[in-house]
Amino acid sequence: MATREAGKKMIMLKSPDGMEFEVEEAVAMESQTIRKMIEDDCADTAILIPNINSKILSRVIEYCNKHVPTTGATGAAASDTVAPAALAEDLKIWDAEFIKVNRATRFNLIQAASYLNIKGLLDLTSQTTIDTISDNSLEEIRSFLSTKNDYLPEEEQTIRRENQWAFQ
Amino acid sequence: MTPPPQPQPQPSHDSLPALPDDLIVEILLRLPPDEPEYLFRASLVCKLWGNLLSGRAFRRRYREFHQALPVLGFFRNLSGLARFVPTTAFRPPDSGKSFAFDCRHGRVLLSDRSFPDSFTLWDPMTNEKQRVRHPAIRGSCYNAGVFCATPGCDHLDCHGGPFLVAFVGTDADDDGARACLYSSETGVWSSPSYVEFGYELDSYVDSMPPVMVGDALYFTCGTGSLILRYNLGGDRGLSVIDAMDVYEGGDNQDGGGVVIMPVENGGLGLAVLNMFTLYLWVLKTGPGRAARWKKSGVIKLDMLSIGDPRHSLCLLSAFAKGRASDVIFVSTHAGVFMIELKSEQVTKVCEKGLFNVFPYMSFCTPGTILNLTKFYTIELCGHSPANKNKKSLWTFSHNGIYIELSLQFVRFT
Repeated sequence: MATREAGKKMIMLKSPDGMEFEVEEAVAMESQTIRKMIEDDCADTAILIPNINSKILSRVIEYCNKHVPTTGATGAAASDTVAPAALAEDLKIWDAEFIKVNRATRFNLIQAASYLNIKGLLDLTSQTTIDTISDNSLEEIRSFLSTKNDYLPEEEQTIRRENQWAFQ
Repeated sequence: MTPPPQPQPQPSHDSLPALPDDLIVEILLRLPPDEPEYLFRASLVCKLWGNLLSGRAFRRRYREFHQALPVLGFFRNLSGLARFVPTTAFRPPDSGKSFAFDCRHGRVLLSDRSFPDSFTLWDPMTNEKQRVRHPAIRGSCYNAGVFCATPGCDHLDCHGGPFLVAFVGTDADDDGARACLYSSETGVWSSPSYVEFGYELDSYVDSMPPVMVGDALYFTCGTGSLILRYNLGGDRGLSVIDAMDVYEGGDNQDGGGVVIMPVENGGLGLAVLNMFTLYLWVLKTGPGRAARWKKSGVIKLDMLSIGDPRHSLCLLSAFAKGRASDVIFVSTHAGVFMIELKSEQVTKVCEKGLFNVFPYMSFCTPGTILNLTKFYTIELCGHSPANKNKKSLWTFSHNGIYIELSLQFVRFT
């Protein structure tokens, strides 16, 4: 339910497991999906966020809360007192801590970031997978992703042979 | 309100949730364009990833996501032969015994020794080659440029489309230049344009890479003292731009070289090297006023002052790298260096050598290289009621596109 606290417009987000989160509208609008709902006047009452459970949703809100001062509408106030470079460095350190979660949580965060359309969170959560692809052998990548190699040996050899430069 | 489509049901945190295809794509989009080997490595993780990465949809999303083309390497003419100097893991096939004239919009314009009367247009990504016979106006000195022919194209993935080749020729017994334009769509050269230089100089066209600014292609003549502008739109006229007053200022007294380059706001620029100082000029034009050169910057290349400064430096070429930065190539006794002018970042490209340098910029995804083996998922549809009238029906799934194949047996009697 939309309400007001200390002059800031608040908005209610509900997870499918029945939890309710009251957040500032500016924080919720870090999600482009929610922003569109609010701008289209579809969010007078509480917004149900389907299939993102309360544990993941609370992490997403935590992320948006942290990131709203630099990217959201209220950014000017925080930037007045802290140098932008220091702020960016602080966020970087915070992000690195934030993403120290197990793979299942990270994958759930990727799904949530994609559904809620939060580019920064999607970049952050995807990066670990990108790093895994960049830094590890194929077997290690498959193991990280719990994926089985379904190429026949001769199929894999063909791809390797035709694109030798990529596998040296 | 009706909520948007819902994500997959949430599994327990003990198991790894299976990511839907669009999220796998969302992650893989973030693989860096200047390290294309990781896209190919990822395509070997499993067939699903291989099919997603080699699909047309991924290619489109990838270029939309990254926008700026990566520099995969450079072509250079060494001893009359074009050779690729990689700056990434990417390696094109061998271009054969050929000399490079130009490289733009994913295509390389070559002169192949086996086909001396033709230009060869080569796509390093697919290794496709097309021959274009020289125009009838060939001069004793000539240069040529290639570019995409599609109006309004963003040139991020147009290397297989229609193209144009611009030809400029000069003759020793003629104080002027001729130009004409070949269209791959019509397969013919346009009628030639002509311009007189109006200078008592030996103004032959240089072999420096031509530069495209707006709808014109620029060629240098007489070692950079004159610039030819070939208007590719409208009248397709040739005009001459004098660059000699730039030298008269003394910037080029030691002959470090001059290159033309596109500058911000769509203008033409000139970079002149004198010892370890680079002077940048911009061509100013205005309504009712003759074009004139204005000095726009001076950059000290002290970072190149390695060893004996008496070894002269030489400018090789310059280009705009995306929207962010201009890049010049400088040859020194210690090697060929690429310098990003804004950041002054210096990268050594290859060992010593004086030759034209052509940057090769292209996205390289598994779907761009056509010879990546595709593995089709083939399944027999069976005898569902919808298919009962057909003798046999197979569906092929390729990049999300299902192709139905109906087999009919016809007996000829």
